Formats: sequence, C-alpha cells, structure tokens
Amino acid sequence: MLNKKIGKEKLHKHIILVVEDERPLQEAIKAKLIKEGFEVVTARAVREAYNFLKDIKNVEAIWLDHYLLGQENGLDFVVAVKENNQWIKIPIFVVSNTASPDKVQTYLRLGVHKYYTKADNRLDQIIKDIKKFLNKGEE
Amino acid sequence: MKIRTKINLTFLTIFTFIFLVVGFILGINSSRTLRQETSQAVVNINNAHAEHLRTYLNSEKEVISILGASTVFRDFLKLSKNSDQYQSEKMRVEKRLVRSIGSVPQIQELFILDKNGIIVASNDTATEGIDKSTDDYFINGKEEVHIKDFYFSEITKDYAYAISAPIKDDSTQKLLGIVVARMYTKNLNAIIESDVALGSTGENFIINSEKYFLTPSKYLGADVILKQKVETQNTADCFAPEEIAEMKEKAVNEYAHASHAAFTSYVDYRGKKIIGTHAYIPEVSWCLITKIDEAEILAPVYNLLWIYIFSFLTALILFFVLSNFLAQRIVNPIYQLRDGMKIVESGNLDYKIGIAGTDEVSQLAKSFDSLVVAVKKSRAEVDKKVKAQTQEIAGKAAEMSDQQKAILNILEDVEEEKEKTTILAKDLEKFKLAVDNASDHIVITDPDGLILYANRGVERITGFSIKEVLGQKAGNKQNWGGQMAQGVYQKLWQTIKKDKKNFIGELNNRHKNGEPYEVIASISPVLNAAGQVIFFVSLERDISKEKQIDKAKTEFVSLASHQLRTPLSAINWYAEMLLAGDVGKLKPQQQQYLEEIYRGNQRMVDLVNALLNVSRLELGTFTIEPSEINIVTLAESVLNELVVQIRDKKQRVEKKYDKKLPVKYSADEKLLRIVFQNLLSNAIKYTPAQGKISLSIWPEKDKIKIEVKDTGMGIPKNQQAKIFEKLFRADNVRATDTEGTGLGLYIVKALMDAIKGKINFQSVENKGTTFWIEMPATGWQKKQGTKTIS
Repeated sequence: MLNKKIGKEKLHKHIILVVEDERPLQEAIKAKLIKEGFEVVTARAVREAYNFLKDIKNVEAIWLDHYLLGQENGLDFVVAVKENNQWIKIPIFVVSNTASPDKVQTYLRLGVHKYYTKADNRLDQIIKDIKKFLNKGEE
Repeated sequence: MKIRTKINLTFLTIFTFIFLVVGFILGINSSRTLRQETSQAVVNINNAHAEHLRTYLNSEKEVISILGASTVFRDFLKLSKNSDQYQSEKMRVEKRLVRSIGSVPQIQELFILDKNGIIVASNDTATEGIDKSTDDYFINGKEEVHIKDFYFSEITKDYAYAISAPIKDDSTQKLLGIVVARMYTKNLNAIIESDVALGSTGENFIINSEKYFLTPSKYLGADVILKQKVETQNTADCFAPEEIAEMKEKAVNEYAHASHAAFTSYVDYRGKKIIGTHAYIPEVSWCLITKIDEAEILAPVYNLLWIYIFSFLTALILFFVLSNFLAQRIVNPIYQLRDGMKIVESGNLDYKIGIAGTDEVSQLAKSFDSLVVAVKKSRAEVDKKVKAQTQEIAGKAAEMSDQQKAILNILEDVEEEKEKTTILAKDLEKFKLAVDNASDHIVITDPDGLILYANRGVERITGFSIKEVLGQKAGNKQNWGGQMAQGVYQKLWQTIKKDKKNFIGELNNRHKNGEPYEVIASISPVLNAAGQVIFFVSLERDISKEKQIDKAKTEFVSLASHQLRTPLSAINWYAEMLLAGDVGKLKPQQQQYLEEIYRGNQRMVDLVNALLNVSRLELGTFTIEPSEINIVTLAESVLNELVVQIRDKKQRVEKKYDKKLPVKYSADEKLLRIVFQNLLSNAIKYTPAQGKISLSIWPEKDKIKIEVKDTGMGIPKNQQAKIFEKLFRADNVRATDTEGTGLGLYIVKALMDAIKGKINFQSVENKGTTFWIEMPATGWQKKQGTKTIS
C-alpha cells in the first residue's frame, strides 16, 4: 500500500514485480533494480506474486524465475497472468537457470518477453534490456 | 639238353668207361708180371754172382793153403837163423814168393811170418823183421786158412784183404809159421760188376759184416769203401742169424734156392724205391747185394700207359666225330621240325615244314603241316567271331565307363553335399544355440503372425512360457501386445506384410503379470525367391530400464543445472554490483581481488555449462535445430568475440574463405558456434605471443571443410590418441594453462559424430597443430531432443 502511494508520487519510477525464491538472488536483483531507478516488489511464491498483482495495479514488468516456493512454478504464474486481460500486456522477463529447451519454448509460446539464463547474464545487462523495453513502450 | 648232346655224351661215357677198365686191368697185370719177372732176374743174378764170389774166394784160399804146405817154406822155418843154410834157404824162399806172385796175379804181396808173427821172408825184402804177431791174419791164420777182411794197407796205400794159411810141420803138425798173401780187391770188383740184365740202374755190391761198402757204389763211387754203411731192410735181413746159419751149411753150388725171393719195393741207401735181394757169403761173412730201381722196371708199363692214353684220345676224337655225325643225321630233321613249329607259333600259318622222306620225323612234319592248315582255317573263323564280339564288348565298356564316371560324379556331388549339409547342420546348431540363448526376445512367425518359434528371451521378458505362446498371434492382447493404439499395429503390419520392409520402432508391451514394459522392436519379413513372405522374424529388446535411467539422468541434469548455477549466479551478480560501485567505490586492491573472484566464478559457470553439454550429448537428448546460416559470418562473429585475447598476445590471424562457399548453409548456429569457439580459443590459448593462427573454410566435393592452424605448442605425440577423450588435457598444456576444462574437443568430436561429420588433426610439439573439420555439404540433419546445448 505504501508502495502504491510512492509510485504515484514519483512518476518516472517503473514498478517491477520480482518473483524469485532464492533470497540472496532476490536481494541482489532488488538492490540493483532500485539502484537503476525501479520501484521493486518481491515475491517468493506464485500465490504471493499473484496477490501483489491484484493489489498493485500499476506493475509494469515482471521478473520471473521458474522454480519457486510452493507447488506452483513460473509457468503456472505466466498462465495465470496471461489469463487476466488487465495483466496480459505486462512484459514478463524469465530469468532462470533451468534452461531446458522445452521449457524455454513453453515460456516463449505462453508469451513471455524474454528468457535469460541467470549464470550467463549480468544483472546490468538484463536490467538494461528491461529498461529499454519499458521506455520504448512509453514513447 | 639237346638230343645231339645226349647221344654224344652217352656214347662217350660208355667208351671212356670201357677204355678205363681195360687200361686199368692191363696196367695192373703188366706191372705185376714185370715185377715178378724182374724179381726173379734179380735173384738169379744175385745167386750167380754170389756163387762166383764164393768160388773165387775158395780158390784163392786153396792157392794160399797150397803155398802154406810148400816144403820150401817149411824147411826154411825149421832152420835156425844162425845156421849157415839160413841165408841160402831164405833166398830160395824169397824167390819162391816172387815166383808165386808172378803166377797168381791176384796176389799183391806175399810174405811169411815165423811162429812168433815176425816177417821172416817177403817178396818185398824191406818188410822183413816187422812184427805182425798182433795182426788178424796171424792170430786167425794159425790153425786154418783165414781171409782177413778188407783193410787199408799202409804199405801199399790201397785197400786190400789178406789170406793167411798156417805152415805146419808135416810130422808133428806143429805150427812153424804163417804164409800171408795180401790180395788185390779189383778182382772182386770185376766179379760183382753189374750185369747187363740189371739194366741201367741195377748194381751189385758187397758189404762187410759191419755193413760197410767193400766194393764201389754205382752211384757214389769208390769213396764209400769202408766209409759208408748200408742200413736197409735188405742188409739187415742178410745178416739175420737164421740166414747166416742156413747159408753156412750150404755148398757153393747149392746157392740158388727158390725160396729166396727178391725183395720188392724197398728203399735203398739213396732213398729210391728198388727191387733187390741179397746173398750171405759165409767164407768172409760178407753180403752181396743185388738191386735194380723199380722205376726202370716199370718204365715199360709207363710207356705202355702213354701209348694207351694217346690211342684212347685218338679213338675218342674219332668216336666223337662219328657220333656227332650220326647224331646230326638223326637230329637235323627234328630241328627242322622245331624251327618250323616256331615260325608257325610266331604267327606264320602259311609256313610249310615239308621234310622229304618217309621216316618218322618226316611223317610228323607232314602231319604238323596239315594240322597248321586246319588251325589256320578255324582261326580265321574264330578271328571273325572274336572281332565281332570285341567290338560289342568295347562298345559296352565305353558305355560302362561313361556310367561309372557319371556315378563317380554323382558320388562326389553327394559327398560334397553331405559335407555341406554337415557344416550347415553344425552352423544351424550354432545359430539355434545362439538364438535360443540370446538375451533379446526373438520370435519367428508364419505370414499370418502365428508364432512358430520363440526363444528363452521371450519367456524371460514377457513372462509367458514358450508352450503358451506357440501358435498364438504374436503381440496380441492374448499375450504381451495390444497395449497401443490400433493405428500403430496397422502401420506395423502395413510395413512388414504389404511393403515387405523392415519395421523398427518402440512398442509398449505388457508382462504376463500385468506390468507394462517398453521395447525397441525390429520385425523383418523373410521372403522366398518369388518375393512372398514365408515368415517374420521379430526381435524385441526390453528398454524399460534404459528409459528409466534416461529419465533419471535428465532429471539430474536439470536439477544440477539449476542447483549449481543458482549460487554461481549469486556470486556473479553481487560481484558485479560491487565492481560497479553500487555500494560505494572500492579501493584498487579490493577492486582487483573482486575481479579475480568474478573471473573465477565465470570459469565455474563455463565449466558447469560444459559439463551439462557433455551429459546431454552423452544422453543423446540434445536437439539439433538447423537453420540457414552463413558460415563465414558465424566464424567472423566468433573471432570478434576473441579479438581481445588475440590483441593481448599480439597474434596474427590469417583468414581464407573460399569464394565457392555457399552463402547459406543449413546448420545449428549454436552448435557450430561451439565448434568455432573451441577450435579458435584453443588455437589462441596454446599459441605463444606473436604466433600465427590461420582459419580456412572451403567446399570440397560433398563436404565443407574448416581448417584451424596454429604455430603453438602442439600435442605430444604419445598423447595424440587421447586428445578427444573427456576431461583429457595434454601434459604440456596443463603445465602452462590452468583454465581448460578438457571438454572442448570432446564436445566438438561428439557434435561431429552426431551430424555425420569428421574431425581430424595433425600436430608437432612446439611447431603447431592443425585441426580439420568435415561437414556434409548438404547441411546438418535435424535432430529432435529434449535439451539444447548452451
């Protein structure tokens, strides 16, 4: 709720939902995104993330991992997001270490924007891509 | 033996036998007669001479005894030496002695001994006064006339014998003296001198009682007298006591006696065989020996023998000639017959022997000639028949030979077939054993799929016994099949029965106990010459376990990729943020250390990625997704990524892209990139500063070739064989560089194998290495898998 107000007050800050179960990674992603001028909401399970989406209407991008806490994984979340017309346009960036091609294909078919392998990509590079995409949309 | 020889030999043997018998009898008889005659002659001669000798000696004795009775001598001896008349009487005596010698020529010397043995008067006055009282003629001559045996007179220097006679007083008969006459021996020699009747070898001689020669030997001369003894059977017998006794009683004229046969064949003093005899001369105790050589006596016999032999030989030759002539006459016609027969026998039936005449042989020849004519006639007939039969037989023989050959051929074929069959049976046995015991499920069915044969693998894999399944339809719901959609089975039957092709595919089956299992099946139709299906052979391998393992591995890989990469990502990102100064500016040393951490982490990420690729490659689950790419562009992009390293080492890169290379080539970009990355980064890494790296790409026949050449440290010769092994790093590389994973070339090789390409290399240590890649010009084949390689 607090974030909601802040978001409204600071016009140029993009709100991004980071769904990542691994705490150290989540911390790093969050820190870097904040550093880069993002407003960050973090979740560790699908249900939690889903609730954030419902509560925070102006989430502009989703950072999604495949394996998450609980029974559901990233795919379940994507399916849920894409079922909702309100959220269908929110770009999803899958950043995962589980790079089996079938999964990658599935994500891409479900309409995620891009798939990154964590170990092979720098944080700043991914964030740069997200920023670029968001700014493009704004223009 | 030939008849002629037989005739000749018979005649000759008989002739020779008769001749020898006659010759033998003649020889024996004549030699015996000759011996007898000679023997008698010898005895006669001996007797005659003995008589002569005795007569002579007695007459001499008579003469001397008369001299002894002479009154002149008596008177003289009665005189005393000293008397006046002595000298005159002596002279008278001496005259008388000389006169006596003159009248009796045998007397050599004549002298008178007085009663004391002293020579008182002699024809040789020089001897007067010599004492002869010890002399034999004095001692033995005192009583009667005595003949002194031969002796050697020193006075006359000659052999002599002496006769002494007593001179007695006519009234008183008292011995007055002795008259002694020494006698010449030559008269004796004359008496016994060889008789003409004794031939050339016969002789007479006298020996004394001591067996010394008294007369000369015909062969040894006069030297033997009183010097050589004659010790023979003849002489021994002559002095035998009974002989002497007999002879002494006999008068001179009684000498000849029939009983005194000659000795025959005894050996004389020369050692020669002789015929001889003896006569004892009692007056002087001598022995007269008469003998003749046997050889001389038998000479006529030998002569006769020679004549006999000569005439025998002459007769023999004559006889031989005659008998030969006779035999020839008998045998010649037989020979003619024999020769004729030989000619006929050698095949000339036209020959005629034709012996003229009426004898037995001629008749025989004529009979033979007619026989030959008959034989000739019958033979011609026989020949005719034989010829015909021979032809027939030859024909049959040829036929039989052909048949035999045919039979032999068949037998050979049969033998060959038998061998083949044996080998086949053995092979079949082997195959049956192999099939029976194979671990896979093997089934043979008829064209309708009904099971004819099932091996033990079937029992083991399906759980159904062979008995149960025989006769059933293979892969039916009744047994292990019917678990999949009907379409699958329809397609299967379409392939093997209609298309008559091999079906290979994975099938889901069901064990007897209900458990499902997966197999990889290969079902082949077996066709006859007409192309019709005779039966099907189905091989199924249970791959359920492999599938499970595969699934487990896949899960492991995805788990590992997530779990390993997550902490690496954390390190990566935090280091990145620190290095970016997100939490404040770092000190230079902090910055440096952090950079090391970051780089180390990057290497770890690379290693994990490589390992994941390897495991995917090994599982065969990775995907090959070819797309139209430009190889040169891809190579350039990889080189660009490596530009920093190249510049750092000041290396020279030579690029050669063939103009004929296709603009578009169908390959998986990601995978080909891995190939380029590995080969080029290796070349850069293992080539010293200022070295040269060449990259060439060109098409060749149905291949696209890539060559990466460097002037680097090379691969040690003894390790070149291991270069494509997983995690292998050459010794020289390990010593200089710690960053390699030992997986790069292994991955490239596995990729090449997967796309039916090739990788090759040539390397000399410290000179450089060249790698070649060959890819099919038609491009890579798509491969569906579960993983991509990052």
